Amino acid sequence: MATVSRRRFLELVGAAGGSTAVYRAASALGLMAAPGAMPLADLQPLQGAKRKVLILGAGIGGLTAAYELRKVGYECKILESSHRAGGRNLTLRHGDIVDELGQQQVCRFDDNEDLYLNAGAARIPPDHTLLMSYCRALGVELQLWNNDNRNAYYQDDNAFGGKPVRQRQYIADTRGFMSELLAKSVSAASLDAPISEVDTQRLLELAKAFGDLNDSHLYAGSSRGGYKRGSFVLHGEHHEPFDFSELMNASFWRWAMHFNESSDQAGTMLTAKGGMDHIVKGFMRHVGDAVHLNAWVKGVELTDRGVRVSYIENGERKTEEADYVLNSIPTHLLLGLRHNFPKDYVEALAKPKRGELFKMGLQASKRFWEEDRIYGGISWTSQPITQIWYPNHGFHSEKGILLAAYTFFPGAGAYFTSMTPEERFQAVVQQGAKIHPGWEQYIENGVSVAWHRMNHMMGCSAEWTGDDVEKHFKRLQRPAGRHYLIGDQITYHTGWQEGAMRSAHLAMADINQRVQAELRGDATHA
Amino acid sequence: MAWLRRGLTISSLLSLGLAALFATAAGPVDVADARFSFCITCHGANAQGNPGVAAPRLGGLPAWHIDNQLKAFQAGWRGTAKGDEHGDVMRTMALALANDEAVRDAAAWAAALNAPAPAATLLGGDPTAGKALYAPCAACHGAEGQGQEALGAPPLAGQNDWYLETQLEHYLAGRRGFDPADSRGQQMRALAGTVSTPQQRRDLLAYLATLSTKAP
Ligand SMILES: Cc1cc2nc3c(=O)[nH]c(=O)nc-3n(C[C@H](O)[C@H](O)[C@H](O)COP(=O)(O)OP(=O)(O)OC[C@H]3O[C@@H](n4cnc5c(N)ncnc54)[C@H](O)[C@@H]3O)c2cc1C
Ligand code: HEC
Ligand code: HEC
Repeated sequence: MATVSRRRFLELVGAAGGSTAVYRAASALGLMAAPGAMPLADLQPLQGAKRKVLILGAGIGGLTAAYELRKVGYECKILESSHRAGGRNLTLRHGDIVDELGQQQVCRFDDNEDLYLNAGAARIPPDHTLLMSYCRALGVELQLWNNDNRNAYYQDDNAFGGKPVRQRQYIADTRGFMSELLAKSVSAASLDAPISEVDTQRLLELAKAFGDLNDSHLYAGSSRGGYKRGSFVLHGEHHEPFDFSELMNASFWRWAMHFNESSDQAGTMLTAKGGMDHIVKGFMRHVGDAVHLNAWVKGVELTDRGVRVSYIENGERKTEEADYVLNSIPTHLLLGLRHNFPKDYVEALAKPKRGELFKMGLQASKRFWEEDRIYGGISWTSQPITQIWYPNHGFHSEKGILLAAYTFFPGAGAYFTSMTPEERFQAVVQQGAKIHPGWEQYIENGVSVAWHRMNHMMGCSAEWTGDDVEKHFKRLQRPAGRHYLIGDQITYHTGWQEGAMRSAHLAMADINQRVQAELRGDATHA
Repeated sequence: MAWLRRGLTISSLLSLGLAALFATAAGPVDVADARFSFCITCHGANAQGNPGVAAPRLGGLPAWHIDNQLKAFQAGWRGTAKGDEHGDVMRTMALALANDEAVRDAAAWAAALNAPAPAATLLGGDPTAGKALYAPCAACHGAEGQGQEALGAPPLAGQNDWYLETQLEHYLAGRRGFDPADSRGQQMRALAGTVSTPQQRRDLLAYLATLSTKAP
């Protein structure tokens, strides 16, 4: 009997049902990952019944919830304590206020729509399908995001005399040396049994291709690492390989070199054209009238029939009851509110640690990096600033905004957080000068965002570790009475907008079920 | 850089429209007092303390103690030692208070907030052993842990146990009470030596927790 190969099977399905069918079938066969297979809330319209939902926090999670719930007839109100909507989706432009506790700043970038800094969310992997679908629905224009630029630098105080090296050169050499070692061990026939002769031959070819070895399977430098002279009309001469021990002295290979292969990262990603806050603006066009700014929630009380929320809006105390509450207030701040949550819930709220991310943007009077052949992408360094991002838009225009520091390692975050804005500026400019000597002359001003001290935030990207995930995290994904915690803080991928959206859908799916059951009950009792 | 912090804060608070910064405090204390409501972002909705950001209870503490400590932060007696990250956070906030008058008003405001006394959170302490350890402390902090203004010794009953534990660790490690000009802190630092082991501190705090239930 002729067996149908998987591939042939998919071709047949494709002929019958088009590419969506292929996709579904492939997912069913386990051939393709179905990113975020969690069911989306399939909300049923209320059809005249009344349900009121209070949403706490106008970040991406809260806005997603209001957008969906309003469409099917729920009455929604969003209470947001800060002066703006968006939460950790924050794009800074000329004149914007950075509401850091105790030391506020005003962004002094020129008044020019191209000069902005995404101080929170900045990039989107195409696998974040829900976020993608909202960009589509809200008309948010996307552009490519270069997350991996081999022309950008790597700089390490412990290697190459502290001088920056092009990533292409570092990576080519590291791969070359590794491949040479692999080739040697294959030739030594030290690989036994399960690998056939054919396979051994192929492995050698792989080593050669992976590391660009010469015909003797040795690494003698590669054009992949760039040319020291020539290449177009003159004979191209590539660099001599670095000393192997220097490559190892640098810490690039430990992590940053493979950064783009981490979960949720990729070499090529996307971002919202003109600033990530266009997603917030898109939502606000639909639900802006439901958003109350400067409305600071102080208490959350579970009652028999719903939830009572007390808050201060522009100095005035208010209380309001709702059938359901969706709450995106960071857990560490939620703990400080008045509440009557059950004990296991409170215990779980206390578990996640606060992330301490820091970003600093600098305005440059001239796009000197483009003259140095860098268009978008990231340079890495072992210094506290960790990274420099080059803008992915406005190529060859006059000025540009560099993200001149982005730190997420615990120590580095605290290092910048405890400084004044002026001290941060000095430190960042000084460190960056090791990668771009003399760049000081082009730096005009800067703005820094230490998320650990941002008003109404006091930290970012909840960190769940060890047993807490199994024991407590899952508790917070379930409601307490009619109170639902939402936000990226209760997802497995904290620190991504997709998580904020999916958490809102998780809560809405449950609310939908409860409401439908209530309505069926109402009907039978009537 | 203190001038920078202050300058930015005042001008931008105004531009945010959050505050009538120089409004006089008349009538009963209001949580929503726009001059100070930022304190409760960290210290909890009623200034009852929030372990989530390591900020202690203020509501119900005497104004003189709050005043003393705000000035200690401003002077760099607290929040400047290496490893005192939470103190550093608070120091930035204290520096945002422009002058002694603002400090005094903030202290009066916080002290008058009605915060419930906290429940015990630390485990493994023996209150009986703690009672004996507390005997020398009572001379200054009072038999009921109620504090004594004349000595500048704050109430300990009614404070979050996790906070007192960190503070004792700070004194022992020299992160608080290290500056010769800080006479109160230096005095207390010397006394922390009587509870030098973690178990002694847990015992002591278990005893203080029994006093807390009686605290106002
Ligand atoms: C530096 C940084 C880089 C990031 N990079 C990316 C990225 O590249 N791509 C990506 O997709 N994501 C990224 N993220 C993550 C993304 O920004 C978040 O996952 C997302 O914005 C979280 O949305 P949320 O609704 O869960 O919470 P938040 O945005 O935190 O919203 C919570 C809201 O609650 C409000 N609030 C707090 N207290 C109260 C109160 N008492 N009463 C009323 N309201 C209150 C806050 O003001 C805030 O608006 C990044 C985040 C940071 C900080
Ligand atoms: C950004 C968060 C934050 C804000 C805002 C804040 N504090 Fe604090 N505060 C803290 C932390 C954290 C500590 C604990 C410091 C430590 O562990 O040494 C603290 C400690 C204190 C203490 C010491 C208490 C004691 O008994 O030792 C006082 C007093 C105080 N804060 C008053 C205030 C006042 C008044 C305001 C507003 C003007 C304020 N705080 C705003 C975080 C904050
Ligand atoms: C001689 C008087 C004296 C004695 C005895 C004394 N203290 Fe203190 N204590 C003080 C003073 C004064 C302060 C305020 C110090 C400062 O400003 O840093 C203080 C502060 C503290 C604090 C910090 C509280 C806060 O809210 O910031 C703790 C905790 C504390 N004492 C515990 C103890 C314990 C425990 C003992 C007994 C082992 C003790 N003290 C004995 C005088 C004393």
